[in-house]
Amino acid sequence: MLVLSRKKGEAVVIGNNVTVRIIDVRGDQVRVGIDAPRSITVHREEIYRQVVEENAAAARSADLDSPLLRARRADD
Amino acid sequence: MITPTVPVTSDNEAMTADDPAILRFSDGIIGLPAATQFVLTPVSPDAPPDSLFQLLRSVDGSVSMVVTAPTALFPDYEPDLPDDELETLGVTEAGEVLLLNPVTLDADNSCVYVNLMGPLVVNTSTLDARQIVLADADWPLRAKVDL
Repeated sequence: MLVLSRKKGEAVVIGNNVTVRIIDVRGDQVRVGIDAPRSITVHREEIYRQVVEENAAAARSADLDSPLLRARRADD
Repeated sequence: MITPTVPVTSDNEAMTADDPAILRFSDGIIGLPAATQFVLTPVSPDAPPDSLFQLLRSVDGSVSMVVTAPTALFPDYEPDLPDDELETLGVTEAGEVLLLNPVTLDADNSCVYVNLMGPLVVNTSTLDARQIVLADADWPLRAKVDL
């Protein structure tokens, strides 16, 4: 992994069109600003990991033959 | 009244099980193998036509996931989809969007969980689709449903 030191206000440029700037540092919390094209989605890692795991679980569920999955919509 | 849970509309007869329309996830689905073309199919051959759940299956057969159109189970689910995500999808009107949410069976097979945080959003005009992570809202990753 590339490790760089940056001060508040400084940035790193990734590729041709992603800039990550250090906005503020307070204690153990760092605020970063990210400039990226719309086509590049930015996620908080822990949330991204949760969605990955939940998608994997939904994919595993597709292989299960459960009567629950044959439930019908309520006819109200 | 029966709420439609698959994108079958009067003006889009292509969206039927016999001739399933292809949903294009150009960025894939988060964490799943790199398939981009998906169809909606019944969960099993004997599934009822008004089934709550469907399979979202890649055309190449490499991956499937269980999904539900959330309105039937969560009538109040109206997530605020970020404008830039909608723009990426080419959505210009609210009515053009169909939501499908991933569904997970509980380990002991007693209930299911619906992922309301990460809806699969379909532009019903173009069939372009993407999973949008609603990180800044309070929609749960695992909303329990007892059936």
